[in-house]
Formats: sequence, C-alpha cells, structure tokens
Amino acid sequence: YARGISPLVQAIQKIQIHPAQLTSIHANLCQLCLLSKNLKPALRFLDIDVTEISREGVRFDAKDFLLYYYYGGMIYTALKNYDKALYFFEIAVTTPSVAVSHIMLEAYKKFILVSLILHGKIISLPKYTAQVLQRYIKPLCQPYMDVANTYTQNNSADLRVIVAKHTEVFNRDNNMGLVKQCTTSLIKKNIQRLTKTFLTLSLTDMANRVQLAGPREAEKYVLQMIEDREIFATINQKDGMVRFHDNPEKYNSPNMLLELDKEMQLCIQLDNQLREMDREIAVNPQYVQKSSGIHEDDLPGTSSSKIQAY
Amino acid sequence: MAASQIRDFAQLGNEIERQELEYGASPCTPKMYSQLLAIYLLQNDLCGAKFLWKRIPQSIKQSNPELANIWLVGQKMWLKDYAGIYEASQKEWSDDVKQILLAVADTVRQRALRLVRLAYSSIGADDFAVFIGMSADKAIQAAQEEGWEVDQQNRIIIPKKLEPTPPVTIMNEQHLAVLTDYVNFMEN
Repeated sequence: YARGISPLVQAIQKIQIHPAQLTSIHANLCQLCLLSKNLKPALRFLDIDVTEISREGVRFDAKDFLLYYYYGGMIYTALKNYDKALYFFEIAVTTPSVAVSHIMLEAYKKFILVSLILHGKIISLPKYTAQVLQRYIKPLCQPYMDVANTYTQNNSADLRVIVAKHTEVFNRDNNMGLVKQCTTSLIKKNIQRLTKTFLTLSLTDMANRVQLAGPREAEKYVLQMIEDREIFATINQKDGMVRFHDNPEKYNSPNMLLELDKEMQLCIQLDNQLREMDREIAVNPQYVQKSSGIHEDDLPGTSSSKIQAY
Repeated sequence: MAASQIRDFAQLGNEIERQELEYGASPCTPKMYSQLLAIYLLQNDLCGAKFLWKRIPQSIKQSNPELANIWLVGQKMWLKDYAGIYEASQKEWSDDVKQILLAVADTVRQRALRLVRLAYSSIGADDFAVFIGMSADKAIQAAQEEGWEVDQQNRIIIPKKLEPTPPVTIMNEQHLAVLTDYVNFMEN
C-alpha cells in the first residue's frame, strides 16, 4: 500500500487548480494512508479547508466526497485530534441526500462516539441535516445510542455494563477502541463535574465519587488532566487533597490580544471568501434563470428573451 | 539541551519520512527506522511512533532488538510510567541513536519537572524522585538547588511556581494598521 502514497500526493498537486480544491483522488489517498498506517502525508491536504470541488467532467461522485470526509475523520481520530475528526464526521453526516448510504451510517456511529469523548454528549446536528438520517440511520445505531444515553447518566459502572453487552457489535464495526476511550472520558468528565461543587477534595473521596480503585488512581487521572489542560488544580500530597482553581486566564494580556487578532483575521478572510462565492453564484446563468423564472411566470413571451440579454 | 540540536533532529526526521515514502513498498534500513522512532519520541509524537512501529515489517523487528528497546521507551511514555521510561532508556545504545535517546530522557525529565511545578503544591520525595528518575536523596538535593522548600523530616518537597513568561510587545504602528483594517471591514 505504501507504494502508492507518493504518486498520489503528486497527482493531487498536479490536478488541483488551487490547494483548496477537492478531487476524487483525495479519498483514495486517505484510504491508502490508513491501510499503510502512515498518516502524515494525508494531513497536509486534510488541514486545508475545501472551498471547491473539481468537476472532472461528471466523474466526481458523491461516494468520493463522503469517503474523503469519513477517512479524514478516521485519520484525525487516530491522531487524537478529536475536534477536527468531529467536524469531518459532521460534514459526512450532513451531506444533502435522499438515499441511505452505508458510508454515512458508519460516519454517524463514529460521530456519536467522538462527540461523547469531546463534548460529553451527542451535539445537535444543524438544521440542514437530511431527513433520511433521522428516519433510517438512527434506528440502525441502537447500541451506540445506548452508550450515549448511559454516558449522560454519568455512571461509569453502568457504562461498562452496556459496553460489555454490545461488545460484539462494537468489535464488528471496528469501533471498540473508540468505545474504550469513551469510558475513560466519562471518568474525566465526572472529575470535571466535581470542580463545580468542591473547592478542595480529598483524593480518597474523589476516588469513591468517580468509582475509581483508590486515591493513587485518582491522583494519576488528575495529573493527566492537568497536563492536558483539561482542569486547573493543584495536588497536595502531604494531606492527600486536591484544590480546584478557576481558569487563571484573565484574557487581559497582550498575548491574548494577539490571539484575538489572529482569530479576527481568519474571520475577515472567511467573510471575503464567502462574498466571492456569493457573487459567483449570483451571476451564474442557471441561477439567474431559476430565480427570475419565478418572477416572470405571468410574462411567458418575454421571459426567454430577457434571459438572453444577461 | 540545545535548541539547535532539537531542530537538527527535526530536520533529520523530515528527511527520513520523505525517504520512507520514496522507498514505497520496499522496507527501509533498520537504522532509518530506529532513528525515526527515536525522533518521534523526542518530539513527544506518541501517535506517530505507534503507527511507525505498526508498519515496520516483522522481519526487521525480529532481527533488530535495539528497535524493540526503543519502542519499549515509547510504550512507557504512552503509559506515563516515568520509572519505566528512565529505566528503559538506560540501555547501551548504538551511535546512530545514542544522542537522540539521551535527548529523549532529558526532555522527559524537563517536562516532568514542569508538570510537578504546575500540578503539585506539595509532593512526597519518593514520588518526585520517580518523576525525574533520580534516587530520593539526589532528588531532594536537586529540589534544594532549584530553591524549593524541603521538609526533611516528612520528606515533603514544596515546588515553586514558575514565573509567567513576559508578554510579547507589539509595535504601535502595526497596531494602528490592524485597527484600521477592522474598522474598514466592519463599515462595509
């Protein structure tokens, strides 16, 4: 598999008119990377936001689009970039469609799991999600919905029971690794909830509340979360206590201003880009025909000649 | 630990990655794999190391015990088993990877030190010793050198919080230009 990566990378670069264009080869490259376990080459393409799809004379298929976002999501999940993974799965799942697609189904299953790991619940999908999702795909994901429901109950023991019950399904779908990460993330979420109620807490108490083996294990989790910046706390080994803090970021430093600057620049660029795309569509003859055709319904004779004038 | 040395290793890593892609289906030399694996560990790219290990052919793994030893360090890093990391990195390494692995142990130690500073208001001497891979007495000595309080009787160490890094200053004219851009944008 590895043999194909380098030629495909070059092929994409040759075919693309600009770096933000999606081609049908993108999905193939992602697939090759996943199979050969060498994920880095795909990243340079995945990290760029797609603004255009290459026509390739009707050969670009919906499958290529769905597969690109599905495989892309898998690559980001493997590299533990859950933010982007969720975004990619969301795109795959909110593609306008009338028919049920297996790719969408698998993407939705992973979407549920990554959403749980990242946000602690299944985040709501945008309004433009296709109806097929609600009607056909959700019922097919029952084990995953079970996991999600138990997750929101915040009980680790119950979650373990549900996972054991559906182990076969998860293994068959190759999602067992993600499911295990969900169980870990539930423990972390419970620890985070403790920060809302307590200012200081003993490690033994924490272990009991979060259903861990003992204070040593609780200390390990808290240390891990402090390192990952998922929590603000200090451990006092002398007394075996943990003290929770507020986020020390006061948002009033020059560094923060620089960060804000960067974000605002990105927004401005995005706005300009959207204006461009809007303008392009507005002068597209098909669009003009459709939108003015509605107004010209009572003037059938003059409508066609009017279009010619454009 | 010189920053330039880290940069050099990063460049070496990129070079080897490129070569691996060019080789395509045929396997790379064990030296390339060992060096790349060690460099991933240095950069704390544990996911990258894991996938590299998975795609190295079984035959190369079996005929090169050093490769397996490097991966052992990686496994300990994944599990955050600090004692294990230092122990695994104490082995005799060949010249190809010796520098890199020394750097790995050093970076792990620095990171652990930073974490202890951030996370602990007081830590037992034995635990601290595990974090930085020294014996308990040496650890106490090191802490005293850093200026931390040490309670000899209970062997508790109180780390000092790190001073926040000084903020980056921006030029005033640059600031004005940026602000004009924003006003311009919002008026349109």
